[in-house]
Amino acid sequence: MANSRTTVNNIVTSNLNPVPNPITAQRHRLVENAVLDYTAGQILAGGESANTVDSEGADSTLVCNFDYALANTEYMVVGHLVSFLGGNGWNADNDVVWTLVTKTVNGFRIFTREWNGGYQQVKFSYIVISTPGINLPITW
Amino acid sequence: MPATTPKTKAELVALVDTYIPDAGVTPYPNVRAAELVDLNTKILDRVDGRILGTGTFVIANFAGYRQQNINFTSEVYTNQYIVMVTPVGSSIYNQAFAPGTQTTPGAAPYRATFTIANRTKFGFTILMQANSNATTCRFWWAAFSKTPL
Repeated sequence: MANSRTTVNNIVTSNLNPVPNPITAQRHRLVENAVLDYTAGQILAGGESANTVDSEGADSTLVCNFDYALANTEYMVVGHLVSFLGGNGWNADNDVVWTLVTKTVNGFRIFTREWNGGYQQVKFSYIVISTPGINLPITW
Repeated sequence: MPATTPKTKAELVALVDTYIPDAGVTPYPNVRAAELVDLNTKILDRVDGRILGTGTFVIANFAGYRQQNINFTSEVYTNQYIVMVTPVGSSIYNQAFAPGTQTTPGAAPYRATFTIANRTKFGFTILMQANSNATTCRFWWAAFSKTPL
């Protein structure tokens, strides 16, 4: 996980300060790597569920597994359902609601429900945003 | 989050060229610590300039229409942003399963629509309408700047 903005600011100002020590190439590289890590640390992952909600049943579940384990669960998920029925299937694929129910360092799970009868075929597409120092709760 | 509009890439490139000039520009070398700090700070501001804020809230007995006001922790640099809302959990599920043990769907989750209103640099309002039985629900939100950085 990337450092917080405050930590990166301190890395920049303390290593790029010629007083009392000169700016060495090593310290300069430390700064640039910290900046690059911070840039990469905003969006931790992105993807799409492997399975589809693919039935006429009322309830279903989708699991989204990350390509690699994250350092912790200090993240939030934003995403949306994607329709795969095609053709006139839009009229069924638009009848699904979802809610996120669990999150781990390896992925998360959503529950889905159709609120109108019919056959749907949807996946969940998402990105994972870092919330450093904050583990957003799911329960209350 | 930066309170002023982050520099564009073109502006930063110009700054790089100015702070780190070619050998033909005098005085040489002319890479000042203060300028390197300024450059890296502005790069970090660009990174911070995309995600303006994140947060969470709970609505108890959510049925029908609700209005949720969200305030950023500090003023952001633009009111041109989009908001994503993520519904998480519901009391209906927690009635069926102990927290942390849900592996199969339970009762119907609420179903709600979201519309964003009153966007300012200080926050926004989420207009919500639920069409399911009253339930307690938690939501996450994230605001993304639409400014082409």
